[in-house]
Amino acid sequence: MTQNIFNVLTQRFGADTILYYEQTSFDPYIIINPEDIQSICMYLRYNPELKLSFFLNLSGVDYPDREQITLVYHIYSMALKTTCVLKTSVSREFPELESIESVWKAAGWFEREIYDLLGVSFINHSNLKRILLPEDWKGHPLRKDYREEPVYHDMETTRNNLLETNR
Amino acid sequence: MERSGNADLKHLKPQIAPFREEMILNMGPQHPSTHGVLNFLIVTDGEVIHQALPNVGYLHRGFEKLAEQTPYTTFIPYTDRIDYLAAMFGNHAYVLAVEKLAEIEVPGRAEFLRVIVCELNRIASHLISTGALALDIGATTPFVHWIRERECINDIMEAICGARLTYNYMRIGGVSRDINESIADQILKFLDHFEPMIDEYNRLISFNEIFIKRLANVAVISQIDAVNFGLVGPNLRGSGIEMDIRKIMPYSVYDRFDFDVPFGEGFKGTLGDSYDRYFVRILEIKESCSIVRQALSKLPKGNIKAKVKRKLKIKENECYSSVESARGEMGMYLVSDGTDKPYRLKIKTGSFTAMSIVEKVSQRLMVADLIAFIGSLDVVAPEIDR
Amino acid sequence: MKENSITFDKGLVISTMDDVINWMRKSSIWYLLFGTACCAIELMQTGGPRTDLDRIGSVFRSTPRQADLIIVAGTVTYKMAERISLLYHQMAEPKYVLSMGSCANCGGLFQRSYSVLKGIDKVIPVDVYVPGCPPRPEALMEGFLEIQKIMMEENFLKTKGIQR
Repeated sequence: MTQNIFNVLTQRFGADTILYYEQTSFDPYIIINPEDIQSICMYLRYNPELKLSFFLNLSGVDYPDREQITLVYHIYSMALKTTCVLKTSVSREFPELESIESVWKAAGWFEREIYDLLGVSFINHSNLKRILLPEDWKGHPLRKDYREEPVYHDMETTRNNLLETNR
Repeated sequence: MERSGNADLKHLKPQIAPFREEMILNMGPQHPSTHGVLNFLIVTDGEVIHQALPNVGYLHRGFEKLAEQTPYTTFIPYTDRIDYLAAMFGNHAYVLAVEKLAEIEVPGRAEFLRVIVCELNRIASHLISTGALALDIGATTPFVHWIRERECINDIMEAICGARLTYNYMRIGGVSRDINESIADQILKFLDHFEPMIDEYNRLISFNEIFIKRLANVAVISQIDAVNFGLVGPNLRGSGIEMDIRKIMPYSVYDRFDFDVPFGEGFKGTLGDSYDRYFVRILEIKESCSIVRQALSKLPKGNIKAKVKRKLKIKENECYSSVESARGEMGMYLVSDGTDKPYRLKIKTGSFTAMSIVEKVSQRLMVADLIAFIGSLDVVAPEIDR
Repeated sequence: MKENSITFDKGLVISTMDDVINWMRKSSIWYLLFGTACCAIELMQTGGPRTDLDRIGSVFRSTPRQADLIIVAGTVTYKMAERISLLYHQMAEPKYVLSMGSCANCGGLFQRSYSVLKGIDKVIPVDVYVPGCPPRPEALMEGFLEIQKIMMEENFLKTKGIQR
């Protein structure tokens, strides 16, 4: 099923944009070039044979050893009755990507969450602000090298373990 | 059938008056509603809302970062607290993902026990959500009736797994405890007592003229909007789209049961209004009762847990698995890296996308209708914030 | 109250003013409806038919100005902690705080999380801690009875406000 989608996409966009198709894992995925993500998603949504209209999930994974942050898109097709997985990577130093909120409105809040917790900014997003953490929080917690501050707004962030202090 | 709603008040249709002054009201995070800590910034001119901006994050506890520091087998109590009203589904989604990656086969008796407790939990969750909707609108009696019924389900859960709210019942490879004859009798007795109560409840509140007028034709979500914003669960089915993970991507043993999936038809008003979303939940309670009866009659004998190593290490791989929870699809995207802790766990919940549609649909609503709308969406705060 | 009072037939009781005032105060504790997470559901069930909080005179109020007990039920995050201290300062004296559940006592299950406040007593002073995750309704009722014991031992006429 995902093989069909891969073939259709390679025919339309070429091998420079659709980079790789991984089939051996449990959920086969397609790796694409981050610069063309908006046009690929627009094509996938409105193609009448594929009809990938249902946006399920968007997650971000931090790989500090590869200096990359990978974004994984899960989209469900109501025509083919299957889930399609797309992957794309951005660099850790300048994490920027085009937003696909114009294709699926559901992606808007998922992208805000990734901006909040991982620090990836999305171009052309309508309201890119922190969503889960307070507005004046410093840092992006889901990165692997995140360190907590000792005090936030006059509240200490640690608590002494009574078993150790009373020993 | 007579159409109820605001059809006869057309001359009072809310207009945005340009000469009136706007004010920004703050609703929450502490408020008399029962949906948890939610905050809305309402831009209004007194009664008609121009914009309602949700402000979430008051219960963000960092589950995903905690998952990276906890071994697979010890993370299960955390999954209860993702959605505390439907805690079994959190357990189920997580153990499904781990078993898929580690290729563990679950014995048949454990699968049927999982279905029984999950459907009982779906009934309990829908009881609270429909009761809370009635309470928000102003009817205090149905909520107390439903709390009394929910106590019976709490007793059954306590007999099965020892806890009333956060169960920690499932394990990787099966479940933790078995049920015996007396618990099965207790469940059947409860179902015999409870199924007539649904009709009594419908007579009490569901077909009540004032209740229908409060909910019909309020906050209509069209089919295009519902799919575009990624709604799942009873919210999506209330707009008429037949999508249920138990039917389209069957997991566990759901393909062996005979049940219908109710979806909205414009029961008392327009298709996709608040009454549709509410009534779909009432119909789902009936279907869950029938699934529990079928599961109890088909329960096979055998082990309740497969043999799994105590320190479970999974080689590098990733997968996405989802279950149909009481509030929609709960999906877990799990990435493993060869150690005994996950590399990344992303939890996708139904309430997150349901909150994102509030801004669009709540324009031109009255303030009181906003309360009814949020009650019909059935959001809980920890599912949004995780 | 029975130690300091003498009871006659036909309903006549002689007692101290302190005892009578404290008895009246402890029999109608109105608590603020404030719950964040799972413990809030057990709080609602405690107000339900089986373990009834109404039989000791407690009803819930939605505004802090009308309440004299705040039950902090559930996990408190940093974003929420400032609002809780605003609510606490709006309550009128004499006021009491009951911390319900592990998360409000010490951070609970989420001790290692980056966004959870490790215990509500870092922000407001607490009278009674009720352990559990979530505590059973009977345990919460025990917490209420402890608050009543604290109320009975106060000397209201000599000092203005509360002795802590």
